[in-house]
Amino acid sequence: MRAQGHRRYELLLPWYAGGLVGPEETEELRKHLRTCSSCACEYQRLLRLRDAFADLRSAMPPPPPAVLDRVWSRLLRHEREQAGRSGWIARAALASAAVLAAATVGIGLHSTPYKTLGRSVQEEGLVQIVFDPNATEGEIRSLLQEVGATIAAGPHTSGLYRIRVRWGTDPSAAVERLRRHPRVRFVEVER
Amino acid sequence: MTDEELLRLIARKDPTAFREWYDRHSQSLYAYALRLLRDPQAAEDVLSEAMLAVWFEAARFRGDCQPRTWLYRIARNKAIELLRRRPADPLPLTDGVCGPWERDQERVDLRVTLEQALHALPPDQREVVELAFFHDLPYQEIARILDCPVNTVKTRMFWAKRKLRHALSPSEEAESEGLEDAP
Repeated sequence: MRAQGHRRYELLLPWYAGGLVGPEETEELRKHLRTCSSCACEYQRLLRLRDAFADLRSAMPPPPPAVLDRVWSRLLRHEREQAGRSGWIARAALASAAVLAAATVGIGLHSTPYKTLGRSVQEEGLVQIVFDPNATEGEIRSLLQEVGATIAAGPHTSGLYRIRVRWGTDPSAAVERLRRHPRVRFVEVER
Repeated sequence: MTDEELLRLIARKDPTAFREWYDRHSQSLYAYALRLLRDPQAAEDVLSEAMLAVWFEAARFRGDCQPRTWLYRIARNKAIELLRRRPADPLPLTDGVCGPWERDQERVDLRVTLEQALHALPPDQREVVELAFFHDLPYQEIARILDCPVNTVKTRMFWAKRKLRHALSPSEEAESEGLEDAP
């Protein structure tokens, strides 16, 4: 009976060492460790093993930033297709004039319930961008001025804007600059 | 904001919530995939596929496990699909583990030894150890991810830990040899 209890606690030790068992089991194990020298030794060994794993974990490389870009691209493509199927692109194109006017005078940037994911004709140098939700209108404006861009449409209900870089400016260069800005959550050249 | 709350927002197609989710989980998920597949390109594929699945499937999350467990299950299934299509070509053990900036030789040696010990474990045991020690998952959640009984998880850990101990401290192991019985 006692041996069975010991075995049960022994099997739980690897998780106990990581603080990964519930309060009841924690209490039971704490009591058991006070009386079982073999489990107390094992517990110490497991703590060292956990340290070694923590060190190994700290050395793991992060995912390359390009993965997030790929995810966003596919996600946006999908949303664009969905939106295209529901036929809102035309509505968005019509609405863009009103949004652009509002954006130019700096009002209504975050309040327009408007979708920007569709691509309309004669549009080059377009970039899709999502700002940090806490970015102020002033920050967005100065960021856009910094790269010589204006809002073409947006925000989409998802927070996505479509911006246009000044004619003759390389959109990829603008994207590179924008990508480094802490207030930018996502940015890519519209293709 | 909790993971459950984020998932609810993602289900409503909130990209800011999705970005938060990605920032929160991408690193550990990438590490999980990388350690499963030992191939950075394949791990990137699994990460992006799993994250996209979250965007598309968030509404289907039933809340019968931790959101992170659900995410790991998705990633694991993607990894298995990928392995079925293309068997992994293992990298040298230290690739992607020790950065070039690493100067502490003793620490590097321990990492390499641990990597070798992990690599020598049967895959089912290695996975349990990594989910517990690397990703800090409770045994109940590991059982859900691996879709196996809780006792199987504990038993795999028992054997894995014994082998790890033997690999990491052979002298210590020799002293205690024979003192333990099978669970």
